[in-house]
Amino acid sequence: MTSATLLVVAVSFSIIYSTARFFNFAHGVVYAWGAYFTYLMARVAGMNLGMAIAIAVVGTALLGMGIELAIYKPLRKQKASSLVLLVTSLGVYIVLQNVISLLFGDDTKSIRMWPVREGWNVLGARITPVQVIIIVSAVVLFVAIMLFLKWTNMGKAMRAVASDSELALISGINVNNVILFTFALGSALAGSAGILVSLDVDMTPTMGMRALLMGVVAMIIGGRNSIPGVALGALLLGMAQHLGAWQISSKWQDAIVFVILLIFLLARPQGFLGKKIRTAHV
Amino acid sequence: MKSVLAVNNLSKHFDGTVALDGFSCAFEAGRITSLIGPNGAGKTTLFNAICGFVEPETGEVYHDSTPICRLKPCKRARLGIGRTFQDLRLIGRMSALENVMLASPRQLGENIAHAILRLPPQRTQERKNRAEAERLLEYVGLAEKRDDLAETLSYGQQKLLTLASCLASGAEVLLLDEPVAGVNPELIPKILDILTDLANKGKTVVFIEHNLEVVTKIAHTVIFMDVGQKVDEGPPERIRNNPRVIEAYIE
Amino acid sequence: MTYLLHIFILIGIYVIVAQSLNLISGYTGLLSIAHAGFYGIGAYVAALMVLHFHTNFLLNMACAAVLAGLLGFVVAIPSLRLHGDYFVIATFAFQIIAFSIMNNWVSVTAGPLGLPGIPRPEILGFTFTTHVHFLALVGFFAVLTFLFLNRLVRSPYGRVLRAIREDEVFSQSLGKNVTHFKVSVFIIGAAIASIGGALYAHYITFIDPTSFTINESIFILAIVIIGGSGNLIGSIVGATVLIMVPEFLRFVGMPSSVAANMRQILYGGLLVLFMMFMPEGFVGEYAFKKGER
Repeated sequence: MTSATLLVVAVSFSIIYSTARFFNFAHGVVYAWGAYFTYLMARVAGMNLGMAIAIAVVGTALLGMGIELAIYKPLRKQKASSLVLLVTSLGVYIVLQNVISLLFGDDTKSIRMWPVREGWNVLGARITPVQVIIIVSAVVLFVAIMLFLKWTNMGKAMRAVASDSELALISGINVNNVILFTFALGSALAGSAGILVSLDVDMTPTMGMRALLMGVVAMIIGGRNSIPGVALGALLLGMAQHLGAWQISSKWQDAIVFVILLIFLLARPQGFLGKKIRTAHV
Repeated sequence: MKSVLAVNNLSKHFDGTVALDGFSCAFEAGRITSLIGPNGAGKTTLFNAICGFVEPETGEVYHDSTPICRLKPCKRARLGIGRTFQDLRLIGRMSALENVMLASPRQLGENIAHAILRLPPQRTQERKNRAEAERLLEYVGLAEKRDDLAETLSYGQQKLLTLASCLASGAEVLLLDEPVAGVNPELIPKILDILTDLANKGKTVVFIEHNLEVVTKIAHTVIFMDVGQKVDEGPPERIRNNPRVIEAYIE
Repeated sequence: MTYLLHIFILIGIYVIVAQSLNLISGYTGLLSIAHAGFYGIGAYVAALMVLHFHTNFLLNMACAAVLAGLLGFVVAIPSLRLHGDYFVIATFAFQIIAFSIMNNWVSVTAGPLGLPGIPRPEILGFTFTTHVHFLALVGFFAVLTFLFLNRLVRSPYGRVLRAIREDEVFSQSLGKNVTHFKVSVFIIGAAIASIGGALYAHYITFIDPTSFTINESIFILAIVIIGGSGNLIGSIVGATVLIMVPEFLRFVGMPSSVAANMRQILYGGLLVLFMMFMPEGFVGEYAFKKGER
């Protein structure tokens, strides 16, 4: 996965983390559903790719919202801890991933309907036109999100809830609505990332888990309460993977990434750019 | 008289706010000392620093003249420093009896081999532990609540339970954070009797309190703290009449 | 009849593995999704030793337990600094690393191809060839580990575990060396899980990394939570329910390929439902609901 799509995944994951305050593992399968919804619309229902993608993005937004309303919100009402929400999201992931397997099978699928072209030579690596489109789209999405968070009212509300949800509540912000919107936005972004990735490589039902894990790592390395931090983490991770593929055999990449994660969790849990988190008060 | 517990020049800041500012004092065996002061004066932070839950920026804590700042909280507790907490920590999902039995020190059964083998020495010790826990529950007046889950007890009863646990731990130094706050007025004399009794038996009792009446009743020494400093120290009658104390409590 | 024995053998193996996770997560409150890693180590070490050195089954199991225990020690270390969901992320990392090693250290583990031809175990000249023999073997270890863990959790040691689960700070203030308890619980839990793994390898006679993925860790956790955290009987109940019900589906004619997915949907779905409505599980005495102190 390129840095660009990883960036979108990581940011979409982190906006949900910072507002709803838990590691939502179901995010990984929402990402996969973006690709599979597209497949459903384009291949099975026969729509043109553009329409299919548009519907799929909406579909993933609805999926994310549905999970929030049916499962996470009731749990939050019961004052469930972030640990409980994490474990529950694992269950949601398992269910939704297996639904994909049931409906579409475990074999690889593709939404590409064009021949694979050779592409140009840039800085020593080969890059195809499609990959250029993917990278540009991902960057556009990222910039759009940053602008949204900075300039729109909802974006500001999201940041308020992320920094102090009690204060936000007192200031009159409907925290539950903000969280719901964040799920919609975050899921749509994840779905989009899944679609973008599928324009270049094949899809499998488990494609989301790896994307999600990379998103978690990017967030923790970069700084979990800081969007620029998450972006930094995603870029570093993407770069490390490209470099690593040359030096160390790519099959050990996962293990190395997670050793790095462990080091950060233990030595610098706030990541590069995050603020220091308050330890338990005695 | 040699002090059992002493702190010297302790300082601690939290996010720029001063909690302790060059604070020093000493506590002696057989005496009851009360710490008073407005909220944020640093009283609980002092307890935390003594117990090892907070690391001071300067200064040292001495137990029987030995510095203990390098020791982990559990090690300090094993030296005989017992503690209750302002937010009433105990194990809600265990019965009152189990809570007290938990506190007993040096239990053989906490060692894996002993836990599995259940040899006579361990079984005997557990029986003794149980008998002592029952005796302590009786002493604090919670005998009938023996098998009830700690979380079902009233606030005042829970306070008594934490006191019983503290006693079960065999602590020679007792740091009690607001032992009578929020307790049913009927139970207060009982608690005060227990504290006085403990001091008479040679234990070192230090308690944080806001209720000046209670303080005057049983404390030998009162320390008035504000913004992390020791403002005054002396017998209750004198401290009570200190204008700063009056100001702080009328406020 | 063989089919029924097969089910019971699987239940027996999962009872062993789930109990060991219950000790760590249910009794001590250290929720972990690294357990398939310990289980996998047991399987791989036992398999490799018997395939390469032809050593005695019990010796192999002991070696697997030692190695798993060592890994348990390593996984315990982050638990001293990280709590709740952050510790879960750390266990996630360990699980991925363990799987990566199983899948990529091809020279030792044969990677994705797996290790075929694992013989049935032999003790003192007797080979456990039939299903009945194997059920007796699994049953023996299941009962043994249950008795061991039961003694442990009902002792003062177990009492401290439950105290740590609810309030670590308070436990320290009573002089309990929380580090010692957390580390020992992980070592014991990992070692027992590896026993289940060794039995599994010898039963299925072929192992590959796909049996020890993150999904498997989540499955084991689901057994603990659904059966009931903090109660060893819960792990028996959970294992029975989560293994029998999907098999029942297969029985009523659901095709094999679909059955595998349905099984996962079942345990994933039940995990969600139980966390929402019955977090203490069927017979548990602890519910992962409220936040930590």
